[in-house]
Amino acid sequence: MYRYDGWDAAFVRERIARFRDQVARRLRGELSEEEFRPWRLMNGVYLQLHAYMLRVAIPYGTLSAPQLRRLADIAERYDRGYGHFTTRQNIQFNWPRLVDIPDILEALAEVEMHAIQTSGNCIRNITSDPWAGVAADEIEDPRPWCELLRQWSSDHQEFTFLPRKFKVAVSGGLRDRAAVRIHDIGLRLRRDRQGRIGFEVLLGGGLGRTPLLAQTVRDWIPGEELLSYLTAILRVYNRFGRRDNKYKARIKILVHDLGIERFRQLVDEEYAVARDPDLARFAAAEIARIRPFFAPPPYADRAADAAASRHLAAIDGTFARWLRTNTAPHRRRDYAIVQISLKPPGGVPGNMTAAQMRALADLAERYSCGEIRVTAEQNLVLPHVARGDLPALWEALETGGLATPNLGHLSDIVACPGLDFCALATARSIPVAQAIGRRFADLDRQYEIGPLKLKMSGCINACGHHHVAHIGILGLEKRGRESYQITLGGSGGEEAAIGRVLGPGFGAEEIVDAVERVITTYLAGRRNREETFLDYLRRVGLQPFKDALYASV
Amino acid sequence: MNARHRAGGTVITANRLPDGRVIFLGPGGWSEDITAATVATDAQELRALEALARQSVAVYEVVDPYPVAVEAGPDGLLPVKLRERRRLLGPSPGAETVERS
Amino acid sequence: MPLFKHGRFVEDPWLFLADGEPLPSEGMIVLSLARPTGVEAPTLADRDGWLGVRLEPADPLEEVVPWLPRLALVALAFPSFTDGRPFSTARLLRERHRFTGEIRAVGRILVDQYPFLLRCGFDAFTVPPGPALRGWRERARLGPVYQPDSLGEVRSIWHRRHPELVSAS
Ligand code: SF4
Repeated sequence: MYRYDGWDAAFVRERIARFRDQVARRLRGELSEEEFRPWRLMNGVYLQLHAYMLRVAIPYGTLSAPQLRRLADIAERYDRGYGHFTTRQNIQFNWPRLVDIPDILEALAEVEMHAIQTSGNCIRNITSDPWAGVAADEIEDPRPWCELLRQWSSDHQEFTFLPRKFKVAVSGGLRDRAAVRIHDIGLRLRRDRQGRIGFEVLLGGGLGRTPLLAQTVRDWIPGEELLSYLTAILRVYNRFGRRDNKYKARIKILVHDLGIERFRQLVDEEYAVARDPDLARFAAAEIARIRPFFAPPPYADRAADAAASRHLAAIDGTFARWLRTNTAPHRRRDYAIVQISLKPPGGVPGNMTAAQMRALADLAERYSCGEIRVTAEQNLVLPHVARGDLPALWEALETGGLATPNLGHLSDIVACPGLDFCALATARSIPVAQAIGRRFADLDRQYEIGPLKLKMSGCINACGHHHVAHIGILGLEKRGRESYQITLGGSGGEEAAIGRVLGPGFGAEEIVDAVERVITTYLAGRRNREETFLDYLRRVGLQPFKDALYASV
Repeated sequence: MNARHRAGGTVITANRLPDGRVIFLGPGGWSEDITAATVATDAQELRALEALARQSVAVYEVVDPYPVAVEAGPDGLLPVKLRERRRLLGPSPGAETVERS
Repeated sequence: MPLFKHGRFVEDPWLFLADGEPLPSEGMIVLSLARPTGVEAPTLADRDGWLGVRLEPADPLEEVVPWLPRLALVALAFPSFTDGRPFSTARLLRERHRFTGEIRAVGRILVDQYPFLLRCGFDAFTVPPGPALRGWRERARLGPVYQPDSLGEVRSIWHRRHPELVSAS
């Protein structure tokens, strides 16, 4: 993992001192709310429905055991004993007092964490592949590049007052696990024939009220040129992006309005002159400095007992199903990637209690070289588990309520906080997610249904990524009541697609039945078990679902 | 519940600056308890309330006050709008992993 | 309007003229972009005395570029402190067009933006009279920053980590 040097620490300390001063001035009335807002947001602080909310960055999704323990401490001391993992590798605390937030930031800084640029119209926390460094299909670990970008974008002199927020994701695998196509900029790591590292640059993706998938703006930019090229993109956006209407201010709208060809031309013109050899030299030097921090941990050779998990799986069905759903191949044959579901039946998607955080931190130290990852689907990952340790780990996870074997299945629901917490929400999402989770709690039924992604958002802003779900649910308000609209056929990652709206929304008391009917329609119509929900939908289209849901009324 | 509360009208709500909690403006100042709120029943009363709220902003007590329509509910005043109801009532039961204290 | 420059408040020798106001025969004047690029262009080209131009965020930068050798000041207007366009404009003036005169931030800016403004090439700041003045005296300072800036005035963290690269630049 990356470790701060004295300069990183000094930077974060200075930021906290500045924010402490800003909070004090706000409380003394020297700053109005309007003047305070940009600084509050750039330190991760929202004013939500019931209280302030603090969003803490987990840069590129990598977390150490001591860091997770510190999050547990903060949850207990300043919140109500839990935290909520979001879809962008952040964790949110729902109840901090503004006056305490500078102290919370100090507590985070002690373990080399921060909340810098987790909100505001600036370059947000850089996200990445939760399997970085361990995935079997990886070209190179993307995290050194993410760290370079984290530093480059922190308090960037030119790009801190952009027309709107700006999200960047970096993927290092052959397969995209960082959802690069739904980001303002998606970077896919590539290697050219000479073996040099570079990036394919995708531009203009994003969900919200105008869901669009990013398009390739450049096939190849050498790694050390990345910062100059991004400078060119951001400069075009900063100068020409719309500022008159916040719903049209994201870069995707500018790309869409100008067309990708014209936008590419503007960026290329800017890049031709903005190309900065100094920046390239610093980038190369920084990458060389940062890379060793992400060297693989000293794995013990565990080939000898790697078969232990297979033996247990042969006699214990509960372990076998967990092994099947919640573990993935590691680049070493004697190790596995273990996924921790934060979606127990009836639970709040993405929530974790302080006790669970501590328990998982201990397990990470014992079984995963002290490392934890955070996923965009509100789950956690233990990235380095010896196969021989899987039975013991599984047992410990079971005890902590962290072994729900539902990864990638229907009850592995992604849900934003919705109207239970969020000031922008139009409907609740948590109770609906809980009700669906309970309805489909039967694991055998979920396995029968097969791989399925259900995601829901409490408003058009789409933080729950419902557009890229196989089954998406959008909570709206219709005539004073919550109404839930279903979209079908979206997909994230490799074959990204935006889902299509099925028809009029359903009331809170109808939506679970509606989801059930979607499922039974699929089960009745699929050719066989190999035809997944998405395959079936792509074959038959929306009509059978429309018939099932609306024909009777 | 007094007669005014039964009739419904408009109250002023805001968030308290230091801790962000939801509060309502009443004769005794701001309170987390909506039953202590002053209910304006006409435009003139509302203007007076809004002027008071602006003073609280000026002395940095509260953030972004705004009017909310309320009606009589079974247990007292209840905002008319869905969002404002939720804001008053807090997260749904079970929407937090840990029970509220 | 008080003027903050080089860490303190100074007298402002410049006169900002509104669009209808007649040109004084001498003195340091600042005009909107419409004037040097309009019918007054010949008069201005012959005029003695220092000239400055005030740019609104949406003004096309190309139009002012031919005038830069004649200008001693470019004022960049901030209609709101969240309008970040002048940050890019200032960098372009300094880094691309090698403008060495004063770049002044006018309009709505906050002292908290000082480090960002300074590193984009601004070197003068108008501040509304009142309590903000004390804030500027106390808070207009620069902390550690990552990004090297091509002005070479700020030692960035990357500079300090890689001193061997500094002489190369
Ligand atoms: S989708 Fe809407 S309701 Fe959900 S977190 Fe985002 S802004 Fe809030």
